[in-house]
Amino acid sequence: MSKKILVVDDDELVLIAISELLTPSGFSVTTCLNGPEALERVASDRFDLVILDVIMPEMDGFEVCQRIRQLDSYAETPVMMLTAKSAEEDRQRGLEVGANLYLPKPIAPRRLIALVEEAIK
Amino acid sequence: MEQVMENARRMLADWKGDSYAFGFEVMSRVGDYAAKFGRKALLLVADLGEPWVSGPLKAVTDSLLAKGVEFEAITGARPNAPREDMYRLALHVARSRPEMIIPVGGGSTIDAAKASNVLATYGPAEAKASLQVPEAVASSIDPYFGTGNVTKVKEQTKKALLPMIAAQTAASSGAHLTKYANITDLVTGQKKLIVDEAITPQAAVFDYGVTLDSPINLTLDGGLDGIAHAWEVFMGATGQAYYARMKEIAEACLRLIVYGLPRVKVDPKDRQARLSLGLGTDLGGYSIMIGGTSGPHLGSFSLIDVLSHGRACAILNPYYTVLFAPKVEDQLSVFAAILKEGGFIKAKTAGKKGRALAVLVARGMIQFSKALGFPVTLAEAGVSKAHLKRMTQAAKDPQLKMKLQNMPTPMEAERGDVDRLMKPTLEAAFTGNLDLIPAAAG
Repeated sequence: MSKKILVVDDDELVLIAISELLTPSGFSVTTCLNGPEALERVASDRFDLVILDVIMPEMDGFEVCQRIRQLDSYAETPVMMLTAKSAEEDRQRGLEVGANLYLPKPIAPRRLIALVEEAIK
Repeated sequence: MEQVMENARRMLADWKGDSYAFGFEVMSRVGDYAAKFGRKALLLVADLGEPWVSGPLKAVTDSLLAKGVEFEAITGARPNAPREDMYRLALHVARSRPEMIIPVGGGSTIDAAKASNVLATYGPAEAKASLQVPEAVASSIDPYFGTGNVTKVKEQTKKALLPMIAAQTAASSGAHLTKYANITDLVTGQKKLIVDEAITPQAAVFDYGVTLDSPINLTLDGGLDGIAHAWEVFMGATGQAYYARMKEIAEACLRLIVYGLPRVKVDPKDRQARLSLGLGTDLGGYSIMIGGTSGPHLGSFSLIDVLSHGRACAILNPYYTVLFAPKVEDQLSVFAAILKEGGFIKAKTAGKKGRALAVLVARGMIQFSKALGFPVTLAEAGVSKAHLKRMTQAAKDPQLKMKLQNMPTPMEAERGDVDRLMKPTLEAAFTGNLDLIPAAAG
């Protein structure tokens, strides 16, 4: 059974690109345009990896990550944060709210695929 | 002006040969170029879905279909080519696996296309091995900022970038012709630059007719950017082997834009003025392939949250002109004549030399900006003291060092030149007081 990935980003074109980039590698990709929608999805489904944007309207990626971590079923699930906020204090905050990886945008597509494969190996 | 235009056409044709189609009704040439590179293209289109782009886009896609090239179109970059947009474009390049990339838009979309091509082509292991950068940054675009880093990776990996055909839609940066990609970090408000022959588009098309419908502010900004390109490189050409060629290019560029810009402001549909601007800004692009821009461009990179690039350069250039006065005597006489012809210098220029002539040229440039309705000091434009600090700080960034080196009197951050020469020049640009500008070494 293919591994399931949830990608959350307020840029629909990013979601399309990541989805189409990862699907040929055998992953099942679900996308959400905002934090509240993402929280609904994780509450009703089980994902093997969550890729989160940080700067989003309504609820930022830090809060989404924090809330995901409060769910027992997601205590160990890898969470990858991809963001334009690359300052050290932002990275620190990302790790504090429970992200396993905090990566600055842009990231080379090949690196993204490699990290996804590594994270859910 | 006809003769100047003819000279401009000749210079561009001599430079780019068959790889550049420019003038009116030339957008269909995209298909001819594309057929040479393959059968599958990814189009990165600025403002995809907006009415103004539908005409040029249709001309491009019709020409691709006529040549049997299949394509997919996605939205290009926002103004200033933010890092996030480049990230998105790189993901699309990677998943679409095209044989070529065709940006259709202005400088931002073309610059983002160049950078995303780099990011999608080379993996972090290749960047790390070729550029000796830490693992943490190898997967980003950061190692490629500066000069020649893409070529280093290209040579080490023996892997070429995807071919690119740039379809320009705005008379401005000359991005369709050049080796530069400006990328902006919207969080810090700082632009950074990739300078590399490897990212120069293999072919380019610029249908000047497309600009007839361009928003007037975009046109004015673009024209000022063209002036900044030619003038900064021309000032930096003193003593260089390419001086005579640069003089010919700059003289034509400045004359065309000083002629065209005020006319377009009065009548945006003036085809003669649009032609003049198209040729002029293209020569601005040619200029930055011969030499590099300097202080004004560097300063503009720190002002993206308050000023468009063209306006920022237009405000800063008069002040740097005075700073560089002892080194740019011949250049000053050329620009003084052009500004006088245009009616922007009223005083006598005959017999004037050195700083006195530089002040006249600076005032002429300021008058030109005023005639376009633009701000002429940084304070007037809404720039803060914090911006000035950011500008001097950015000037000390090693990845932007080339801008200091390109000045007629090259600056060394380590020697304290930024604080000694640049800082008071920026203060002068902030207040409008030319007297604050120190005398650089002659």
